[in-house]
Amino acid sequence: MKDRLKIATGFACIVIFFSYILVCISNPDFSSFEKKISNYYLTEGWKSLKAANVVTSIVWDFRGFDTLGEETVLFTAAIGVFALGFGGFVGRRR
Amino acid sequence: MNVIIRTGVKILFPLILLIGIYVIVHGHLTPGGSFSGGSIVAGAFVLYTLAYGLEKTERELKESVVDILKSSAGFILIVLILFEFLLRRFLVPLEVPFTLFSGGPLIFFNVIGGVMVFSGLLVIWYTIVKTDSD
Repeated sequence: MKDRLKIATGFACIVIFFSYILVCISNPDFSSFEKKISNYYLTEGWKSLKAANVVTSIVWDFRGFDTLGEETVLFTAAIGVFALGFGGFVGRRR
Repeated sequence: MNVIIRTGVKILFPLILLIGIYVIVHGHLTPGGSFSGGSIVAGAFVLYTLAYGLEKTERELKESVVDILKSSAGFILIVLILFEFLLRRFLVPLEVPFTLFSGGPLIFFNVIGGVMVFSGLLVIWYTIVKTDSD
């Protein structure tokens, strides 16, 4: 049973490896969508906010909720450390 | 800590605070923004704690104050992001590009986000120091 699992895993690895090489050789055009979206960001980001730092205008304007999520991650990390530090000891020590 | 570190921190602390606030406020003009500026300001307070100890730092900035700052900054940030399109419509026609007062609501976002990053990192730092010294 274990030998079969090993053979199956190795076979899967070989298949994934060669399909990756095939994709790299055939060289599909991933860049068309990227070009479109980055051109849109550069032109519309300047038009909508007129900020010199386009990165900040993208981060807070186009991806405002994403940045809010990043801040929430930091908030949650602070609450977690606070709970680890003080939460368990409130009754016993202080 | 010894007198060399204390004197160095005494000289460096306001300069680091100044650089951090500059990075936060000019986030829509120069590279940087709320995350990097808030980290710099928090780093200044970490340096102060390392040099002068926890008691003197808490005399300058209490942990309860930092806690309230963090929570209120998070609330204000949510409200501001929900009404971002209104602020943009009102503010952008009034302002001149490439000056400090440009970029519409970005300066508010950067300041509030910077306060939130700074206070979040500082709450983590205070908690670690206090539990370690118990």
